Amino acid sequence: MPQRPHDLCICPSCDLVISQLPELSEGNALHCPRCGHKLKSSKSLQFSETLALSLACLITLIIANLYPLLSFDFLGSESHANILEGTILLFDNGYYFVGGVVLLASVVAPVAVFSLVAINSFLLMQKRKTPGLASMLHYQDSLIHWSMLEVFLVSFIVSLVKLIELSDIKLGWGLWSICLTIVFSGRLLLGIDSQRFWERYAAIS
Amino acid sequence: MQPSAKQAGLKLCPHCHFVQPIAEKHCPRCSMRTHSRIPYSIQKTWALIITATIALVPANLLPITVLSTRGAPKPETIMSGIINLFQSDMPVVASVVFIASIVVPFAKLVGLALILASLHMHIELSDRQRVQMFRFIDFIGRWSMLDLFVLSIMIAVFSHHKIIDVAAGPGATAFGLAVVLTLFAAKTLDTRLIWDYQT
Ligand SMILES: [Zn+2]
Ligand SMILES: [Zn+2]
Repeated sequence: MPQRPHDLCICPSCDLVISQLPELSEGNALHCPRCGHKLKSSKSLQFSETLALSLACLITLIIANLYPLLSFDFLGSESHANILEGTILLFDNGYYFVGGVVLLASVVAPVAVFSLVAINSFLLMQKRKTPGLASMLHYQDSLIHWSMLEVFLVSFIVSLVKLIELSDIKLGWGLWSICLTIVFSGRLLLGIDSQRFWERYAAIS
Repeated sequence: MQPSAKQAGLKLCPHCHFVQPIAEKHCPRCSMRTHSRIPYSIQKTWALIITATIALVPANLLPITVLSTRGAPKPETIMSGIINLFQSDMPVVASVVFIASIVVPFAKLVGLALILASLHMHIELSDRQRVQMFRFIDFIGRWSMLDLFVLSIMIAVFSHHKIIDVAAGPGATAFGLAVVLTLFAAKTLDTRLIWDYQT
């Protein structure tokens, strides 16, 4: 048995004490022997990689919010829709809760998570410890679950099929941009290892 | 029986995964309040499940969308919207919406209730089955946001339209509430209890 308690590994999902974690072999994730919880990912990313991916996500997501998802010609007047417009109208009509949840899941949480991952990765890569770093790491971990861009994209496809009767729908730059965001964030979320962040945080203090 | 950290007098910080003695109040690494088990996990999860179930009643009975054509409003509930999609020959989209808005919320509530009930009563489910069920529930939960996103997109699409207007209905608030409550319910259920209650 190792002497210091934090040399042990405890499964967060079933509380099993694992005294000796086997070496991580290439391409194989480590799973808890009792409950199957993934303890260590094989695709774990370095700080430089999380920084690059989160910046890519952030830029493409900002573009996605500036340009329309689709536009169509209707009786000579052009209409278009972007991500924020729907939530603004929900707020205008008094649906604050629905508007708030949609805004959180499609804009606020993703923007906040990508910004936090970028800032935290940069600070930890530079081994710089600023006063707010611990709370920024906490916000990063808790907001990650509220970012639902992939659900938003499927919702957009559902809406598009509903609108298929409308003639002359033109897909906008906003849509292509959000597709790119989802590609980048998919890789980011697969490989982001919050324990790596916290270990580095502890190492530089 | 394999040792749990609780029996060994240890606990894991839920935030930064730092292993510490059970007597610590705050995590030495990230300074957050830590608990060996989520306090009142079962009670809180039951409360959230019951509230979400109640919210699902108006969510399914009241209109979620109000579609107006030339000023004549046509309220639509979740179910009537799905039936409309089926009748307009869009079975795939209709099925997607049906799964996300009807199947997922109900499956989630039933699944969570089943796991909770299995902690009190003797139900023939192995620990592995229960935790796999929980992970599935946790994974599908976010997809019930789909209908709210569709609503928001449709509102945006028709915002400057001269003939058609789409607006939210009171069912949308109830549905949003049910979705958020089930997301919190999955968060407050402490899966480690499944092994604690093992006999
Ligand atoms: Zn485990
Ligand atoms: Zn901690």
